Amino acid sequence: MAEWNLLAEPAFTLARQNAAVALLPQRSIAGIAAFKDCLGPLQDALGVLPGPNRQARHDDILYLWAGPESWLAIAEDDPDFDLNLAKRCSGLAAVTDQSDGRAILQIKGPHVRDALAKLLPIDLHPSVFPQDATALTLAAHIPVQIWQSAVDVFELACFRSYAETLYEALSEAVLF
Amino acid sequence: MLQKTDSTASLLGGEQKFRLAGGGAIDRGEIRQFRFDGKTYYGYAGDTLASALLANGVRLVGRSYKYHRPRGILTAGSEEPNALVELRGGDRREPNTKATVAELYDGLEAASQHRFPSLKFDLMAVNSLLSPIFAAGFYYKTFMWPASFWEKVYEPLIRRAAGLGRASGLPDPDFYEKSTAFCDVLVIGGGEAGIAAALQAAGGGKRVILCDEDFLLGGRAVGESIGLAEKIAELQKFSNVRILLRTTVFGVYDGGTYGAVERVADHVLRPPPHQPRQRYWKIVTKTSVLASGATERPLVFGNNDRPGVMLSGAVRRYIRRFGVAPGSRAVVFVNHDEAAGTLAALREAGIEIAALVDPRAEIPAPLRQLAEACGAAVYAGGVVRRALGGLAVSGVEIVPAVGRLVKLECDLLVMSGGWNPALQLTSHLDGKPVWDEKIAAFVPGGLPPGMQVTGAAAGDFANPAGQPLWQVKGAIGKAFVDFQNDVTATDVKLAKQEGFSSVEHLKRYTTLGMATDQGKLANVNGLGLMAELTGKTVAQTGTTRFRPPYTPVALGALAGAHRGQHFKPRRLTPTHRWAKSQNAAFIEAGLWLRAQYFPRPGETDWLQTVCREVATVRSNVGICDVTTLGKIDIQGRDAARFLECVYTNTWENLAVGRARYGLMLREDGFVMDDGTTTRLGPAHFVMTTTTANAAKVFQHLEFCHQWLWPELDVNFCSVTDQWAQIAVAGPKSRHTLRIIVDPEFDISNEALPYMGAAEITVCGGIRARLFRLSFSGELAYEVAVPARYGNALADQLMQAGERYGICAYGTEALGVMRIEKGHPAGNELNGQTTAHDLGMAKLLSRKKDFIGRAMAARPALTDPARPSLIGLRPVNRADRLRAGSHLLPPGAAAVASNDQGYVTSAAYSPSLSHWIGLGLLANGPARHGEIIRVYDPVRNGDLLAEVVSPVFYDPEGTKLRG
Repeated sequence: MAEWNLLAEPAFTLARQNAAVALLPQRSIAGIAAFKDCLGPLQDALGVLPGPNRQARHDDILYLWAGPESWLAIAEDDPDFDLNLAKRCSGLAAVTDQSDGRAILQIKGPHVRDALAKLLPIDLHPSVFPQDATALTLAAHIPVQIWQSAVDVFELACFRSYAETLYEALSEAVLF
Repeated sequence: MLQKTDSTASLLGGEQKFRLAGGGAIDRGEIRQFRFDGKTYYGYAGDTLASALLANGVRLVGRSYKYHRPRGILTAGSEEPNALVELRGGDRREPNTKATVAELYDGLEAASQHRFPSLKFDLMAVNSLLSPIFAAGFYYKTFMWPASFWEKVYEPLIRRAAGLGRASGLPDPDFYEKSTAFCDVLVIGGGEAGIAAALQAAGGGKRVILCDEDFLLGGRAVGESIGLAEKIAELQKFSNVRILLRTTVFGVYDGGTYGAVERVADHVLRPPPHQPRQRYWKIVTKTSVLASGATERPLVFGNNDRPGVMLSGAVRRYIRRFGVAPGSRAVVFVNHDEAAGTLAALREAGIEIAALVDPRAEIPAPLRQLAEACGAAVYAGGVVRRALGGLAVSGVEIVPAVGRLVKLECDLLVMSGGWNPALQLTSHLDGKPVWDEKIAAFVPGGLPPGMQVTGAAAGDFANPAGQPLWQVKGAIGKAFVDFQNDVTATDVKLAKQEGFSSVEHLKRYTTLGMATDQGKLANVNGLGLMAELTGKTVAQTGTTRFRPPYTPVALGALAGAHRGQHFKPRRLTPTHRWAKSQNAAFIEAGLWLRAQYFPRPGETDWLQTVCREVATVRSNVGICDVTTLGKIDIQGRDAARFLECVYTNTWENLAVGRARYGLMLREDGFVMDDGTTTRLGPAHFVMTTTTANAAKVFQHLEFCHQWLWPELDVNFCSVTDQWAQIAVAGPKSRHTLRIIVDPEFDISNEALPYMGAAEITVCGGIRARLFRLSFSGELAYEVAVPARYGNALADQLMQAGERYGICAYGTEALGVMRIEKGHPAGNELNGQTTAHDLGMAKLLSRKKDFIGRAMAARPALTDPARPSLIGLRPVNRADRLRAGSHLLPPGAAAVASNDQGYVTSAAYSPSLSHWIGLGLLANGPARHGEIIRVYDPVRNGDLLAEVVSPVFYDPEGTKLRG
């Protein structure tokens, strides 16, 4: 069965001299929420569990802290991702497929932090938001999770239903 | 002798008679053409509208608010009360712009306000003759009788006469932006003190933001101080300093947050592409330095509002910064030693100085010598009691210390009563300014956390005015305290006489300080005068509070991008693209856009479409997107236990693969939400909520878990967006689904009975969930697939159902069918209804505790006399029922005391061919068969209806279980 494109326009647009905004290709995403008193074994099972407002990579999986004893795990598109993760975390955490629950938008390029400042109320200065940081915040009234995938390359995850409206907001924000 | 202007302007046909030949921080190479009241003038880049008008000898620029007195340019800054003009035209027209702040650009169009037919000849000046009636507080004493006249006569007249300036009334063509900035030090004010503070902080490696409302840095030092340019250049070298010009910090808020507005494109004809007109900055800082300088105080004497009467610092600025002579022959009336600097500037500009009038009995020798060297007569201990002239100052009357009245000719009267630190920002978080006797000014008292004050804003004056003069005694003519609201010294006396002598009463009784300039020139004079009148000290009299904004802020700037369609974000369902391709009409449901109905060619109105959709579902099959209803994944050892706590009914005994209706109460016993929750595994449930309450219920679950039952091992995850969920309803729904559900899954009535659920695959292996639920009352299912497949699934279902005459249906048809089945929805779950009201008392378990159990049992909440759920059928089948109508006994007076309830939901039922309604009626369930009056005065509805069961269609529920 075909997937219809999430957004009407092609993924990469608006690469003028300003920052570029793109919808990233489909990835696998899962929510992980630890059960009571399971943090130690869970960390052993996964290999890593980043602390508050931090991200960490292990075995090709990116883990983003997403709340008290909660994480978002992101990996390349794999239909069995959540099932395999659920097996590894069996009895230790609630694992929920979120591959379709989130859309991830990328923004990078000149003045990227100035563009983001128009939408986000948090400080993204490198001294305060280092390479391994992540934050749960709002972008123009849209709940988002933001992190850097590379130096000065930001990714924002939002609920899928907000993807188009967030893309529009970012696309306007990059114009100076 | 006045220095003549340069020749370029005269070549273009414009002669700036009062422009000095040299000097000023203006660019004489860049000529700017502008129009004021229809006449063309010329100025230079770097001018404000005010400086350019003065350069062209235009002194009369407006008419005052109440008395329509001729007014001119009083200041050179944002404290200006008089020179308010209408700037631009068409959809960019804006009223009440201060000419002293408006940067001059080529093509600028400005007009004076508040005068008819012209500035020079204003008919409304007749108000001046009636001034004894229009004294302070006249609103409270007039327009009272007869009472009936207020609404139809007085108010419309006052409305037409009152107000200042006209808004364009057209949509704003510009866009606005908001941005958040963070720093270690926010320096407010870019004069010498601010620049010094910024340099110091920057040198220490701090992140610095420096804001100034002006378009140049330097404040009062522009045109005056020699080292200024070097310091500014030094500041610009730091990469950790952000300089925001044309930016007013207008407010201090909690948590080190400051509001500021940057006038990005006010100084050009129209904003360049992609530029906002203005930008609202939210600045979050660890510390701040207030270097906002000080505002000069006028003196209060007769006709001190005539065009040509100007503040001393402003006169200096026009000469030194703008290269403009504000007049040709001046009298200087100042009570402090800053007069020396002004005399020097006047002399440099070649302006004759007729006299120096200083109320102090003793003036310092250097000042006297300077005045005499300028050829001025010196009147120590003297005062100006009145300015002479009508449309402009023509002379003064001086009362010397000894001797007779002196009359002198002049066209410029320079006045100053001292300086007031611009400390408004220090009191935004309730800090109280403190009176400093030595400098006769209020200085900052309590400060917002993290703020320091420096320079003149802290009362650091080179030449303070030690002896304040609150009013000139024996003044003749109106002596203004508040220029913009036309409040005079007499009004202050009147307030005291009437008993309004506290500063808060003085303000509100006289409206002193309540104009758009927020009393910057008026407040201290007003309370100083009141102190004198009441025999108290100024410290005892106190001062009113200041609140944001420091200067007016356009609402557009605060709205930023959130206007029109962008007011709030938009959430699209996973079938949105497909629904658009099917020509759906959409409706907003909270942030969501949902398909409302799907008109087909030839259908002329929505009712026709909706009736077709309902009929098709009930006879064949239809599909509807129900993704927006909240879906919450619940996992954990204690998941079932937790559900027992939040729902009123039983959950531990729910089998895997079964769904159950759940009712959720608030702690106060009222119904909060409902939904169906399915058990997918021993420790795994998925809960649904209504669309509107999805976030609220999630928050409620988190609250209950974190605070009330933290010992339970359970986790929640929102999966509303993860799964596209489509209802497939109608007698042919199973047939349709059979085609898309993969063959290995048995979905017969036996394998998947009513309220059953299964995890399956569809369309050749796509992971899916199938729930046999019915909101419509027909045989029905909801099928869920990962959201990326939403559009494709809708398409596949329509193809599969084509042979069964399938149609798509939207929220309207969904609503009609649930009303036909008497299912309570948002209209009935309105926060004021209980389980008993909705006929769901059976769902309140008696065997366990749950949220809301105790409060729901209160006698008042179980009283059958409460409005309770019923159905309504119009007696005359052709009548239309409307939600919101009230229910009264027939024949009773239509008054609130006879009100027995109201209609909550109404729809035209194609199944029954007439309108039906659901409502809440006192003792409702016991009154089936009664005839009730349905009364709707708002829409002129008045009809009779029969009270019936709310289940209009298939009351036995046979269709559900087939």
